[in-house]
Amino acid sequence: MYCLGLKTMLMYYQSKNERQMNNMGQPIIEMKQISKCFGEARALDQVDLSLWAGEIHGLVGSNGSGKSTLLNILNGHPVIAETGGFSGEIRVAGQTASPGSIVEAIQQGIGMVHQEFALMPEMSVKDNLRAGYEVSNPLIDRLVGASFSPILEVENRRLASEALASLGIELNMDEKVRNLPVHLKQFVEIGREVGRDGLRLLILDEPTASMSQENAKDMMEALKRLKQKGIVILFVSHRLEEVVSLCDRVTVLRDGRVVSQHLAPELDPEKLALDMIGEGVLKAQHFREENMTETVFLKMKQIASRTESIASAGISLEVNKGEVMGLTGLAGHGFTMPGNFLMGGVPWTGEIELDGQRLSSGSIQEALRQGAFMLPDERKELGLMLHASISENIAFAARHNLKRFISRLWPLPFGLSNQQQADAFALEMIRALGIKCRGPHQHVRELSGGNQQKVCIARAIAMSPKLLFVGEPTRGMDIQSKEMVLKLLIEMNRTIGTTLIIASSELEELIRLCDRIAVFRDGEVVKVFKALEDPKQMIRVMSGERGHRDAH
Amino acid sequence: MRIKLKPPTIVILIYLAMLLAGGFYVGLPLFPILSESMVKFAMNGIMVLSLLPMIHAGVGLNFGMPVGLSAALVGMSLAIQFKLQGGVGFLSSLVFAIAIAVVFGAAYGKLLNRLKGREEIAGVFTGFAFIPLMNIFWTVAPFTNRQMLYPVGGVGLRPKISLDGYFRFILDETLVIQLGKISIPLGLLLFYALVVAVIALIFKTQNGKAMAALRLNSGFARLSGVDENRVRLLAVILSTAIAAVGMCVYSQSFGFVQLYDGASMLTFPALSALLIGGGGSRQATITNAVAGAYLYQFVYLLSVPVANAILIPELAELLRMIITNGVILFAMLMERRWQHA
Repeated sequence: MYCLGLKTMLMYYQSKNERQMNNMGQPIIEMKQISKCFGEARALDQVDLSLWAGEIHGLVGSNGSGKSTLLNILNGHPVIAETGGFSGEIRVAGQTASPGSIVEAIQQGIGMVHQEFALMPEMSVKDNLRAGYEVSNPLIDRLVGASFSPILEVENRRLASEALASLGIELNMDEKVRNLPVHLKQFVEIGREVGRDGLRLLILDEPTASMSQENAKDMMEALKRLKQKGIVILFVSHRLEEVVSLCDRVTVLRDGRVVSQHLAPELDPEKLALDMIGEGVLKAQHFREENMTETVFLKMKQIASRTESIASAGISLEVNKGEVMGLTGLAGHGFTMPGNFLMGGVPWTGEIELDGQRLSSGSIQEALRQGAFMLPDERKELGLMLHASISENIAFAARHNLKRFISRLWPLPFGLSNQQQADAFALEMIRALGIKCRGPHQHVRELSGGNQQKVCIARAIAMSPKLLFVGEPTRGMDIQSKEMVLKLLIEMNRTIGTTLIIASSELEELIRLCDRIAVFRDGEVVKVFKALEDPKQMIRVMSGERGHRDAH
Repeated sequence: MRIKLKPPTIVILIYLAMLLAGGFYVGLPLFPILSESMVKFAMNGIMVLSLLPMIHAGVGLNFGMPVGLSAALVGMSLAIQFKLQGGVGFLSSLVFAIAIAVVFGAAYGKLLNRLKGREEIAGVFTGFAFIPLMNIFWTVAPFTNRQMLYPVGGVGLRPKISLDGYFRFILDETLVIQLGKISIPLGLLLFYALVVAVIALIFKTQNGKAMAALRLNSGFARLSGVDENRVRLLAVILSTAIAAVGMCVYSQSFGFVQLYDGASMLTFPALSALLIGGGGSRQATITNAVAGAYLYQFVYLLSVPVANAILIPELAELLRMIITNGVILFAMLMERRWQHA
């Protein structure tokens, strides 16, 4: 029923959009039925997207919704071809085209500015703006070819400043890019794309992520100027307020599908956030009994990163003993940071108290000694040794920190790892958690995502921590595994009294499990909700409604 | 279990087969070579084993082995200076060598911790810089035993100090068993086995497991409470100390303590032997080190008389250099390919 409703809604939106857009001219870019798989995982599922001349089109979605894959396909990123290409059709100005490389994409008039700068810091602004397509002497070009011909300094300088002028800014052309502040570097990146002849589509991936609000405003002004020149802009951002104020049309992606399209002036951050998260959240039921005590177990006061360039007022958070606390927010708003501060070795300023003990910045060992443990959201990168056995993965942290699975062999002065004990425990975990494998010696990389996560949970059980941080516990799993993993976490809380902190973008899961949910925005806790409170309110806070600055 | 041979091992096995065929053709007596190969294997093998702790911890191949070798040279020089002879002399050499290697290794390890990701190239330059530094030391060190000093002038240590009367062949000549025409240097082999056992045990300790975790996934290890710099330092110190032990064993077999540039000649063959045994800078087992050391030495022993008889005499040495250095280059090439895969 729900699916049918969604489909009808989509069709309605699409036809409404088409009607409106037809008045604006022909679509410059048309993507039809785009699907893409990475191995067994489906990243994009029959995505249709049309972009018209002179439109700023917003693309939003939570992490893993397929945004990056879509951008990579449009931009001819080699990763797409390397992983087996994609299916579907791309038409640029009516002509079938599918960029096989970034150079081809540029030739077809598609330019992209990545979130990470792709500039040459030791070269001047002018050289960066014209890099790769400098104008050279046409006569000598004919004799020795353009790549050996002398560059026309004056002409290039003129073109470079024209490109920047079209964005409404002026810069010293001879300044080294390394000396520019972040937002001006971003302008140089955009200027480089704009300066190319025949630019039709400009893709911007989180262009304002590292900017202050004021600089972001300048950036949006510049984008509006470009729009008037007839360039289509595909604007990807987690800052919904910006998306709403800037874009003519917004497409929401979830789980690789287009779930909705919204048109200005009916854009509403709350609706966008709800589409990103999924309507299921409104029906979620809290199902567990509280296990929470009144004692504060973890206290974070004004915690901010020492290295991060963005200034943040800091995270303040209190978690009670035995509590299940959820941390959530839209992607990119820093809700996984508390775990990284406490257990990830990220240096911080502020004050953290764990079980009555003050911790010092960046010390993982200290937190471990106090009984904290973390299962990070980057499971494959940080949570597992993929090339080691299940048994070694499960036993490692407990052996290293609690001296479990170690026995003494006379007359040696040191203990040796006891493989039998570790294997026996791993086997017990395999049975108890239902890990599908051939045995404790199988390598973890051969397991499915769900089973890998169960190995992670077995690691935590071996540590029997007083406090467990879990980042995105169910990401990339099928529904059955998701339920199993959530059940296991709650079991830990119930049986050994582990205080749980779950950082997740799956609000629905948090509502079902948690006693309280802290909502993050711009790297801060904006409000802490009781699980039974109105989920609509949570989404409102997440998507940027001001006036909620209640930390506790 | 299926054994998968890596290209360096295959190349060396083909070369070995050709040498054996050539040996039969010229009627080479095989038994003396077999006996000799066991001595050469254990004499050089400990230096090959010394590479393992650093590889185990993900620090890579120890191109800075001269640091450990120099520590052993100082240790043995001290034993000779104090005129410690026989078993006492050898044991005290080991004790001095290990003690100095721990100090040298700690400094070298701290350097490598600051150059994470570029340890191998840093090791090459540490090795090359360390030897001339030690050369200055050999000329000015206040040793007084006449047997160590330059015969003329009496200042500075001579390049080759004879161990005759000290601990020459102390392991080689212990418990030698005659099996028909083959003589087995059991004492030497037992000492080698002891070093193997020590390494195997260390790998089974909490620190040994932490080293393996750092190699497999340093992020995982850090989040699980491993102090990365401390464990890496430990691995470098271990590698350096075992290299020092290896140098002591080598010298007693060789019969001389070779100072000055002597230490620089031993690093590449040891690395090459490990690679021939199927090891690599990201993964190497004790079996790789043992098999590689034996293969390398056996091939070398065989190639000299065969090449002398069939081809031009210098060819054997040239072939050895080509194989030694070629194999290292090949391993780097493979490493690059794995990184990009």
